[in-house]
Amino acid sequence: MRAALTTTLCLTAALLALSSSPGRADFRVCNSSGAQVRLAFGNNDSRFGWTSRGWWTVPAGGCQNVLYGEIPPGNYYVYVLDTANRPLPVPEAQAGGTFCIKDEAAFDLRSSSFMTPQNTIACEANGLKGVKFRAVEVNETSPTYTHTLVPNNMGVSSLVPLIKEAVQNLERPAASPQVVTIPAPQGSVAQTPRPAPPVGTACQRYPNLC
Amino acid sequence: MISRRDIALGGLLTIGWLAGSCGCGAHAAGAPHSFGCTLTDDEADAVFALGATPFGPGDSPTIVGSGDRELDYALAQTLSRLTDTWNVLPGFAWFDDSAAPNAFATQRRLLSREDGSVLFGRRLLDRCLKSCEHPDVVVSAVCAHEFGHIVQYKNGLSKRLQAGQPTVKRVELHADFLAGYFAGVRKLAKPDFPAAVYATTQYGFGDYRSDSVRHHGRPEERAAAIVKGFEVAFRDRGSPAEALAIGMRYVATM
Repeated sequence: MRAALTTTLCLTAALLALSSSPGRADFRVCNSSGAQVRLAFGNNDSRFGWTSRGWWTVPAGGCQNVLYGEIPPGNYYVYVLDTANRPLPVPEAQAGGTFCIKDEAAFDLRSSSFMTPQNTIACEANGLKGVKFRAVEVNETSPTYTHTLVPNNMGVSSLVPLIKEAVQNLERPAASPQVVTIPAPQGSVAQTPRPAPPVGTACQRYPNLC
Repeated sequence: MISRRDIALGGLLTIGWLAGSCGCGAHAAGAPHSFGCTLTDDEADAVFALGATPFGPGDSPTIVGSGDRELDYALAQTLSRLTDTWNVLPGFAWFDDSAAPNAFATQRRLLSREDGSVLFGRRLLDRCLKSCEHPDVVVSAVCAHEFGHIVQYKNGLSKRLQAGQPTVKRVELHADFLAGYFAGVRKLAKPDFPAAVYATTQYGFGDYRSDSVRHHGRPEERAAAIVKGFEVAFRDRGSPAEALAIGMRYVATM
Protein backbone atom coordinates (compact mmCIF):
# COMPACT_ATOMS: atom_id res chain seq x y z
CA MET A 1 0.00 0.00 0.00
CA ARG A 2 2.78 2.35 1.01
CA ALA A 3 4.71 1.39 -2.10
CA ALA A 4 1.70 2.13 -4.25
CA LEU A 5 1.24 5.48 -2.56
CA THR A 6 4.90 6.30 -3.03
CA THR A 7 4.70 5.37 -6.69
CA THR A 8 1.64 7.54 -7.11
CA LEU A 9 3.29 10.48 -5.38
CA CYS A 10 6.45 10.12 -7.46
CA LEU A 11 4.44 9.95 -10.63
CA THR A 12 2.41 12.96 -9.61
CA ALA A 13 5.56 14.92 -8.89
CA ALA A 14 7.00 13.89 -12.20
CA LEU A 15 3.86 14.93 -14.02
CA LEU A 16 3.99 18.27 -12.29
CA ALA A 17 7.54 18.60 -13.51
CA LEU A 18 6.35 17.89 -17.02
CA SER A 19 3.78 20.60 -16.67
CA SER A 20 6.14 23.27 -15.49
CA SER A 21 7.73 25.82 -17.72
CA PRO A 22 11.48 25.67 -17.92
CA GLY A 23 12.10 29.24 -16.83
CA ARG A 24 15.47 29.07 -18.55
CA ALA A 25 17.46 31.44 -20.64
CA ASP A 26 18.61 30.64 -24.09
CA PHE A 27 20.74 31.49 -27.07
CA ARG A 28 18.51 32.21 -29.99
CA VAL A 29 19.12 33.08 -33.58
CA CYS A 30 16.58 35.31 -35.28
CA ASN A 31 16.39 35.48 -39.02
CA SER A 32 15.88 38.98 -40.37
CA SER A 33 17.71 38.18 -43.58
CA GLY A 34 14.46 38.24 -45.51
CA ALA A 35 14.66 34.63 -46.58
CA GLN A 36 14.59 31.17 -45.12
CA VAL A 37 17.93 29.77 -44.02
CA ARG A 38 19.37 26.57 -42.68
CA LEU A 39 21.28 26.95 -39.47
CA ALA A 40 23.94 24.99 -37.60
CA PHE A 41 25.35 25.97 -34.24
CA GLY A 42 28.62 25.32 -32.46
CA ASN A 43 29.55 25.89 -28.84
CA ASN A 44 31.83 24.69 -26.09
CA ASP A 45 29.48 22.46 -24.18
CA SER A 46 30.26 22.07 -20.50
CA ARG A 47 29.86 18.32 -20.74
CA PHE A 48 30.97 17.42 -24.22
CA GLY A 49 33.44 20.09 -25.22
CA TRP A 50 33.22 21.70 -28.63
CA THR A 51 30.04 20.52 -30.25
CA SER A 52 28.31 21.23 -33.55
CA ARG A 53 24.64 20.62 -34.19
CA GLY A 54 22.26 21.12 -37.08
CA TRP A 55 20.17 21.56 -39.03
CA TRP A 56 17.45 23.95 -38.11
CA THR A 57 15.37 25.62 -40.77
CA VAL A 58 14.60 29.17 -39.75
CA PRO A 59 11.96 30.90 -41.84
CA ALA A 60 12.24 34.55 -42.67
CA GLY A 61 11.22 36.50 -39.61
CA GLY A 62 11.50 33.45 -37.39
CA CYS A 63 13.70 32.69 -34.42
CA GLN A 64 15.25 29.45 -33.27
CA ASN A 65 16.52 28.55 -29.83
CA VAL A 66 19.76 26.64 -30.20
CA LEU A 67 21.02 26.51 -26.63
CA TYR A 68 19.27 26.56 -23.28
CA GLY A 69 20.49 27.71 -19.92
CA GLU A 70 22.52 30.70 -18.84
CA ILE A 71 24.82 31.90 -21.58
CA PRO A 72 28.33 32.45 -20.25
CA PRO A 73 30.74 34.81 -22.02
CA GLY A 74 32.76 33.35 -24.85
CA ASN A 75 32.62 32.53 -28.49
CA TYR A 76 29.64 30.79 -30.03
CA TYR A 77 29.46 29.85 -33.66
CA VAL A 78 26.80 29.83 -36.34
CA TYR A 79 26.87 28.35 -39.80
CA VAL A 80 24.13 29.59 -42.09
CA LEU A 81 23.17 28.39 -45.55
CA ASP A 82 20.75 30.03 -47.91
CA THR A 83 18.47 27.84 -49.99
CA ALA A 84 21.11 27.68 -52.70
CA ASN A 85 23.43 26.20 -50.05
CA ARG A 86 25.63 29.26 -50.01
CA PRO A 87 27.21 29.83 -46.60
CA LEU A 88 27.17 32.98 -44.56
CA PRO A 89 30.55 34.64 -45.18
CA VAL A 90 33.13 34.31 -42.44
CA PRO A 91 35.62 37.14 -41.93
CA GLU A 92 39.00 36.15 -43.27
CA ALA A 93 40.62 37.40 -40.11
CA GLN A 94 38.60 35.06 -37.93
CA ALA A 95 40.74 32.50 -36.19
CA GLY A 96 39.29 29.15 -35.32
CA GLY A 97 35.69 28.15 -35.71
CA THR A 98 36.15 24.98 -37.74
CA PHE A 99 33.60 22.28 -37.01
CA CYS A 100 32.51 19.06 -38.63
CA ILE A 101 29.06 18.92 -40.20
CA LYS A 102 26.96 16.60 -42.28
CA ASP A 103 25.87 18.07 -45.56
CA GLU A 104 22.29 16.92 -45.50
CA ALA A 105 21.37 14.82 -42.50
CA ALA A 106 20.83 16.13 -39.01
CA PHE A 107 23.94 15.97 -36.85
CA ASP A 108 25.12 16.41 -33.28
CA LEU A 109 28.90 16.03 -33.27
CA ARG A 110 31.57 16.36 -30.64
CA SER A 111 34.73 17.77 -32.13
CA SER A 112 36.89 15.79 -29.71
CA SER A 113 35.87 12.64 -31.55
CA PHE A 114 37.65 13.82 -34.67
CA MET A 115 40.79 15.39 -33.28
CA THR A 116 44.14 14.11 -34.48
CA PRO A 117 47.27 13.80 -32.34
CA GLN A 118 48.40 16.98 -34.05
CA ASN A 119 45.38 18.75 -32.60
CA THR A 120 43.70 19.28 -35.94
CA ILE A 121 40.16 18.28 -36.69
CA ALA A 122 39.84 15.46 -39.23
CA CYS A 123 36.30 15.70 -40.50
CA GLU A 124 36.75 14.27 -43.99
CA ALA A 125 38.56 11.22 -42.66
CA ASN A 126 35.41 10.45 -40.74
CA GLY A 127 33.05 10.92 -43.65
CA LEU A 128 32.10 14.42 -42.59
CA LYS A 129 32.73 17.88 -43.93
CA GLY A 130 34.85 20.48 -42.18
CA VAL A 131 33.61 24.05 -42.46
CA LYS A 132 34.28 27.30 -40.75
CA PHE A 133 31.48 28.69 -38.63
CA ARG A 134 31.09 32.39 -38.01
CA ALA A 135 32.00 33.46 -34.50
CA VAL A 136 29.48 35.26 -32.33
CA GLU A 137 31.12 36.80 -29.31
CA VAL A 138 29.19 37.08 -26.07
CA ASN A 139 30.97 39.50 -23.78
CA GLU A 140 29.17 39.05 -20.51
CA THR A 141 27.07 36.45 -18.82
CA SER A 142 23.64 36.80 -20.22
CA PRO A 143 20.34 35.26 -19.29
CA THR A 144 19.33 35.44 -22.92
CA TYR A 145 21.34 36.18 -25.99
CA THR A 146 19.83 36.81 -29.40
CA HIS A 147 21.90 36.79 -32.54
CA THR A 148 20.15 38.34 -35.52
CA LEU A 149 20.87 37.47 -39.12
CA VAL A 150 20.47 40.53 -41.30
CA PRO A 151 20.58 40.91 -45.07
CA ASN A 152 24.12 42.22 -45.02
CA ASN A 153 25.20 38.98 -43.44
CA MET A 154 23.66 37.06 -46.26
CA GLY A 155 24.72 39.06 -49.26
CA VAL A 156 22.04 41.09 -50.97
CA SER A 157 22.41 39.31 -54.30
CA SER A 158 21.26 36.08 -52.77
CA LEU A 159 18.09 37.50 -51.33
CA VAL A 160 15.84 37.91 -54.33
CA PRO A 161 15.24 34.22 -55.06
CA LEU A 162 15.01 33.51 -51.36
CA ILE A 163 12.33 36.10 -50.81
CA LYS A 164 10.44 34.73 -53.76
CA GLU A 165 10.59 31.26 -52.30
CA ALA A 166 9.56 32.47 -48.88
CA VAL A 167 6.49 34.11 -50.33
CA GLN A 168 5.60 30.91 -52.14
CA ASN A 169 5.98 28.97 -48.94
CA LEU A 170 3.42 31.13 -47.25
CA GLU A 171 0.70 29.74 -49.43
CA ARG A 172 -1.48 27.14 -47.81
CA PRO A 173 -1.74 23.66 -49.32
CA ALA A 174 -4.32 23.78 -52.07
CA ALA A 175 -6.02 20.53 -51.29
CA SER A 176 -6.21 18.06 -48.48
CA PRO A 177 -4.00 15.15 -49.42
CA GLN A 178 -5.08 11.69 -48.47
CA VAL A 179 -1.56 11.03 -47.36
CA VAL A 180 0.01 13.60 -45.11
CA THR A 181 3.37 14.44 -46.55
CA ILE A 182 6.05 14.45 -43.93
CA PRO A 183 8.69 16.96 -44.84
CA ALA A 184 12.11 15.37 -45.11
CA PRO A 185 14.56 15.89 -42.25
CA GLN A 186 15.98 19.34 -42.25
CA GLY A 187 19.17 18.08 -43.76
CA SER A 188 17.42 17.64 -47.07
CA VAL A 189 15.04 20.50 -46.66
CA ALA A 190 16.08 21.98 -49.97
CA GLN A 191 14.23 19.15 -51.67
CA THR A 192 11.20 19.10 -49.41
CA PRO A 193 10.72 22.30 -47.47
CA ARG A 194 9.24 22.25 -44.00
CA PRO A 195 5.64 23.43 -44.02
CA ALA A 196 5.26 27.15 -44.13
CA PRO A 197 4.93 29.01 -40.84
CA PRO A 198 1.53 28.80 -39.19
CA VAL A 199 -1.02 30.42 -41.39
CA GLY A 200 -4.73 30.87 -40.92
CA THR A 201 -6.64 28.88 -38.38
CA ALA A 202 -4.85 25.52 -38.53
CA CYS A 203 -2.41 26.45 -35.81
CA GLN A 204 -5.06 28.24 -33.82
CA ARG A 205 -7.14 25.11 -33.74
CA TYR A 206 -4.19 22.81 -33.10
CA PRO A 207 -1.59 24.97 -31.39
CA ASN A 208 0.40 22.11 -29.98
CA LEU A 209 0.86 20.42 -33.33
CA CYS A 210 2.36 23.51 -34.91
CA MET B 1 -5.93 -22.36 -37.65
CA ILE B 2 -5.20 -18.68 -37.80
CA SER B 3 -5.56 -17.21 -41.24
CA ARG B 4 -3.78 -14.20 -42.60
CA ARG B 5 -7.02 -12.33 -42.40
CA ASP B 6 -7.35 -13.20 -38.75
CA ILE B 7 -3.89 -11.85 -38.16
CA ALA B 8 -4.73 -8.64 -39.89
CA LEU B 9 -7.96 -8.20 -38.04
CA GLY B 10 -6.16 -9.01 -34.84
CA GLY B 11 -3.78 -6.24 -35.69
CA LEU B 12 -6.69 -3.95 -36.19
CA LEU B 13 -8.01 -4.85 -32.82
CA THR B 14 -4.69 -3.99 -31.35
CA ILE B 15 -5.55 -0.54 -30.30
CA GLY B 16 -9.24 -1.04 -30.01
CA TRP B 17 -8.76 -0.75 -26.29
CA LEU B 18 -6.61 2.24 -26.89
CA ALA B 19 -9.45 4.20 -28.32
CA GLY B 20 -11.17 4.22 -24.98
CA SER B 21 -8.20 6.02 -23.59
CA CYS B 22 -8.65 8.84 -25.99
CA GLY B 23 -12.13 9.46 -24.77
CA CYS B 24 -12.87 12.07 -22.20
CA GLY B 25 -12.15 10.78 -18.76
CA ALA B 26 -11.50 7.27 -19.95
CA HIS B 27 -8.31 6.26 -18.33
CA ALA B 28 -9.40 2.93 -17.16
CA ALA B 29 -6.61 0.69 -18.02
CA GLY B 30 -7.72 -2.61 -18.64
CA ALA B 31 -8.66 -3.58 -21.86
CA PRO B 32 -6.80 -6.01 -23.41
CA HIS B 33 -6.58 -7.24 -26.90
CA SER B 34 -3.42 -5.93 -28.31
CA PHE B 35 -0.73 -7.44 -30.44
CA GLY B 36 1.46 -4.47 -29.92
CA CYS B 37 1.13 -1.55 -32.21
CA THR B 38 3.63 -2.84 -34.68
CA LEU B 39 2.82 -5.07 -37.60
CA THR B 40 4.92 -7.66 -39.33
CA ASP B 41 5.39 -7.24 -43.06
CA ASP B 42 2.76 -9.87 -43.75
CA GLU B 43 0.28 -8.22 -41.48
CA ALA B 44 0.92 -4.85 -43.03
CA ASP B 45 0.47 -6.29 -46.50
CA ALA B 46 -2.77 -7.83 -45.46
CA VAL B 47 -4.07 -4.66 -43.93
CA PHE B 48 -3.41 -2.78 -47.10
CA ALA B 49 -4.21 -5.59 -49.43
CA LEU B 50 -0.92 -5.11 -51.19
CA GLY B 51 -0.15 -8.79 -51.18
CA ALA B 52 -2.23 -11.72 -52.21
CA THR B 53 -4.77 -11.47 -49.45
CA PRO B 54 -8.25 -12.78 -49.13
CA PHE B 55 -9.65 -9.31 -48.61
CA GLY B 56 -12.41 -8.18 -50.84
CA PRO B 57 -13.00 -4.51 -51.54
CA GLY B 58 -15.45 -4.31 -48.70
CA ASP B 59 -13.11 -5.87 -46.18
CA SER B 60 -9.91 -4.11 -46.78
CA PRO B 61 -9.06 -0.99 -44.82
CA THR B 62 -8.01 1.69 -47.23
CA ILE B 63 -6.13 4.93 -47.06
CA VAL B 64 -8.41 7.90 -46.56
CA GLY B 65 -8.03 11.55 -45.85
CA SER B 66 -8.27 12.86 -42.32
CA GLY B 67 -11.27 14.93 -43.35
CA ASP B 68 -9.70 17.98 -41.84
CA ARG B 69 -7.33 19.93 -44.02
CA GLU B 70 -6.22 22.11 -41.17
CA LEU B 71 -5.42 19.13 -39.01
CA ASP B 72 -3.32 17.69 -41.85
CA TYR B 73 -1.48 20.95 -42.11
CA ALA B 74 -0.84 21.28 -38.38
CA LEU B 75 0.08 17.65 -37.92
CA ALA B 76 2.60 17.88 -40.74
CA GLN B 77 4.52 20.30 -38.54
CA THR B 78 4.71 17.76 -35.73
CA LEU B 79 5.64 14.95 -38.09
CA SER B 80 8.35 17.12 -39.51
CA ARG B 81 9.76 17.66 -36.04
CA LEU B 82 9.66 13.94 -35.38
CA THR B 83 11.62 13.28 -38.56
CA ASP B 84 14.13 15.95 -37.58
CA THR B 85 14.51 14.66 -34.05
CA TRP B 86 15.02 11.04 -34.98
CA ASN B 87 16.39 11.34 -38.50
CA VAL B 88 13.80 8.94 -39.82
CA LEU B 89 11.45 9.43 -42.72
CA PRO B 90 8.51 7.04 -42.73
CA GLY B 91 5.36 7.48 -44.72
CA PHE B 92 2.30 8.59 -42.81
CA ALA B 93 -1.31 8.11 -43.75
CA TRP B 94 -4.77 7.95 -42.37
CA PHE B 95 -6.67 4.77 -42.97
CA ASP B 96 -10.16 3.47 -42.59
CA ASP B 97 -10.26 1.69 -39.24
CA SER B 98 -14.00 1.43 -39.07
CA ALA B 99 -13.62 -2.17 -37.92
CA ALA B 100 -11.85 -1.01 -34.78
CA PRO B 101 -9.89 2.09 -33.83
CA ASN B 102 -6.23 1.56 -34.48
CA ALA B 103 -2.83 3.01 -35.25
CA PHE B 104 0.41 1.23 -35.94
CA ALA B 105 3.88 1.30 -37.37
CA THR B 106 5.39 -1.10 -39.86
CA GLN B 107 8.74 -1.50 -41.59
CA ARG B 108 6.88 -1.95 -44.85
CA ARG B 109 7.35 0.88 -47.34
CA LEU B 110 3.68 1.25 -48.02
CA LEU B 111 3.96 4.91 -48.87
CA SER B 112 7.19 5.21 -50.81
CA ARG B 113 9.21 6.45 -47.89
CA GLU B 114 12.38 4.68 -46.91
CA ASP B 115 11.79 4.11 -43.22
CA GLY B 116 8.54 2.22 -43.19
CA SER B 117 5.09 3.57 -42.51
CA VAL B 118 2.92 4.94 -39.75
CA LEU B 119 -0.80 4.46 -40.14
CA PHE B 120 -3.36 6.26 -38.04
CA GLY B 121 -7.00 5.23 -38.14
CA ARG B 122 -9.70 7.80 -38.75
CA ARG B 123 -11.91 6.39 -36.07
CA LEU B 124 -9.10 6.47 -33.57
CA LEU B 125 -8.43 10.04 -34.60
CA ASP B 126 -12.03 10.95 -33.96
CA ARG B 127 -11.84 9.43 -30.50
CA CYS B 128 -8.62 11.21 -29.70
CA LEU B 129 -10.02 14.54 -30.80
CA LYS B 130 -12.83 14.09 -28.28
CA SER B 131 -10.36 14.08 -25.43
CA CYS B 132 -11.12 16.72 -22.84
CA GLU B 133 -7.64 18.03 -22.40
CA HIS B 134 -5.45 19.10 -25.31
CA PRO B 135 -6.76 16.65 -27.90
CA ASP B 136 -4.10 17.76 -30.35
CA VAL B 137 -1.44 16.63 -27.88
CA VAL B 138 -3.12 13.24 -27.59
CA VAL B 139 -2.84 12.86 -31.36
CA SER B 140 0.76 13.99 -31.14
CA ALA B 141 1.49 11.45 -28.39
CA VAL B 142 0.14 8.58 -30.47
CA CYS B 143 2.24 9.68 -33.44
CA ALA B 144 5.36 10.05 -31.30
CA HIS B 145 4.90 6.55 -29.91
CA GLU B 146 4.51 5.08 -33.40
CA PHE B 147 7.55 6.99 -34.60
CA GLY B 148 9.35 5.41 -31.68
CA HIS B 149 8.77 2.05 -33.30
CA ILE B 150 10.09 3.36 -36.60
CA VAL B 151 13.22 4.52 -34.79
CA GLN B 152 13.57 1.07 -33.27
CA TYR B 153 13.32 -0.52 -36.69
CA LYS B 154 15.83 1.78 -38.26
CA ASN B 155 18.35 1.30 -35.49
CA GLY B 156 17.94 -2.44 -35.26
CA LEU B 157 16.57 -2.25 -31.75
CA SER B 158 13.26 -4.07 -32.15
CA LYS B 159 14.72 -7.56 -32.17
CA ARG B 160 17.14 -6.72 -29.38
CA LEU B 161 14.30 -5.43 -27.25
CA GLN B 162 12.13 -8.41 -27.96
CA ALA B 163 14.83 -11.07 -27.61
CA GLY B 164 13.87 -13.61 -24.99
CA GLN B 165 10.88 -11.61 -23.82
CA PRO B 166 7.54 -13.25 -23.20
CA THR B 167 5.65 -10.06 -24.02
CA VAL B 168 6.02 -6.94 -26.17
CA LYS B 169 6.30 -4.82 -23.06
CA ARG B 170 9.93 -3.74 -23.47
CA VAL B 171 9.36 -2.76 -27.07
CA GLU B 172 6.33 -0.70 -26.14
CA LEU B 173 7.88 0.96 -23.10
CA HIS B 174 10.93 1.86 -25.15
CA ALA B 175 8.66 3.50 -27.72
CA ASP B 176 6.98 5.33 -24.83
CA PHE B 177 10.39 6.46 -23.59
CA LEU B 178 11.22 7.86 -27.02
CA ALA B 179 7.84 9.59 -27.16
CA GLY B 180 8.60 11.15 -23.78
CA TYR B 181 11.93 12.36 -25.10
CA PHE B 182 10.13 14.04 -27.97
CA ALA B 183 7.74 15.66 -25.49
CA GLY B 184 10.78 17.08 -23.72
CA VAL B 185 12.19 18.40 -26.96
CA ARG B 186 8.89 20.09 -27.67
CA LYS B 187 8.70 21.62 -24.23
CA LEU B 188 12.19 23.03 -24.56
CA ALA B 189 11.16 24.72 -27.77
CA LYS B 190 7.66 25.64 -26.62
CA PRO B 191 7.52 26.14 -22.86
CA ASP B 192 3.74 25.98 -22.68
CA PHE B 193 3.65 22.62 -24.43
CA PRO B 194 1.52 20.39 -22.16
CA ALA B 195 3.92 17.46 -22.06
CA ALA B 196 2.07 15.86 -19.17
CA VAL B 197 -0.65 14.88 -21.61
CA TYR B 198 1.81 12.43 -23.16
CA ALA B 199 2.10 10.70 -19.80
CA THR B 200 -1.61 10.66 -19.12
CA THR B 201 -2.29 9.41 -22.63
CA GLN B 202 0.10 6.49 -22.32
CA TYR B 203 -1.11 5.86 -18.78
CA GLY B 204 -4.51 5.29 -20.28
CA PHE B 205 -3.08 2.79 -22.73
CA GLY B 206 -1.61 0.57 -20.04
CA ASP B 207 -2.94 -2.84 -19.21
CA TYR B 208 -2.56 -5.45 -16.52
CA ARG B 209 -2.42 -8.55 -18.71
CA SER B 210 1.10 -9.49 -17.83
CA ASP B 211 0.40 -13.07 -18.79
CA SER B 212 -0.36 -12.09 -22.36
CA VAL B 213 2.22 -11.74 -25.09
CA ARG B 214 0.41 -8.53 -25.95
CA HIS B 215 1.05 -6.93 -22.59
CA HIS B 216 2.23 -3.36 -23.18
CA GLY B 217 3.05 -2.45 -19.61
CA ARG B 218 1.00 -1.36 -16.66
CA PRO B 219 -0.44 2.17 -16.72
CA GLU B 220 2.08 3.50 -14.22
CA GLU B 221 4.93 1.86 -16.15
CA ARG B 222 3.87 3.50 -19.37
CA ALA B 223 3.55 6.91 -17.76
CA ALA B 224 6.88 6.46 -16.00
CA ALA B 225 8.59 5.60 -19.31
CA ILE B 226 7.26 8.85 -20.75
CA VAL B 227 8.56 10.77 -17.74
CA LYS B 228 12.02 9.19 -17.99
CA GLY B 229 12.32 9.99 -21.66
CA PHE B 230 11.09 13.50 -21.02
CA GLU B 231 13.77 14.03 -18.39
CA VAL B 232 16.54 13.00 -20.74
CA ALA B 233 15.52 15.73 -23.15
CA PHE B 234 14.22 18.45 -20.88
CA ARG B 235 16.36 18.15 -17.76
CA ASP B 236 19.53 16.50 -19.06
CA ARG B 237 19.58 17.93 -22.58
CA GLY B 238 20.57 14.55 -23.90
CA SER B 239 20.91 13.96 -27.62
CA PRO B 240 18.58 11.61 -29.50
CA ALA B 241 21.37 9.03 -29.68
CA GLU B 242 21.79 9.23 -25.93
CA ALA B 243 18.05 8.87 -25.48
CA LEU B 244 18.06 5.68 -27.51
CA ALA B 245 20.80 4.18 -25.38
CA ILE B 246 19.40 5.35 -22.06
CA GLY B 247 16.00 4.05 -23.07
CA MET B 248 17.46 0.63 -23.81
CA ARG B 249 19.06 0.50 -20.40
CA TYR B 250 15.88 1.75 -18.77
CA VAL B 251 13.59 -0.89 -20.20
CA ALA B 252 16.15 -3.60 -19.53
CA THR B 253 15.30 -3.14 -15.87
CA MET B 254 11.62 -3.85 -16.49
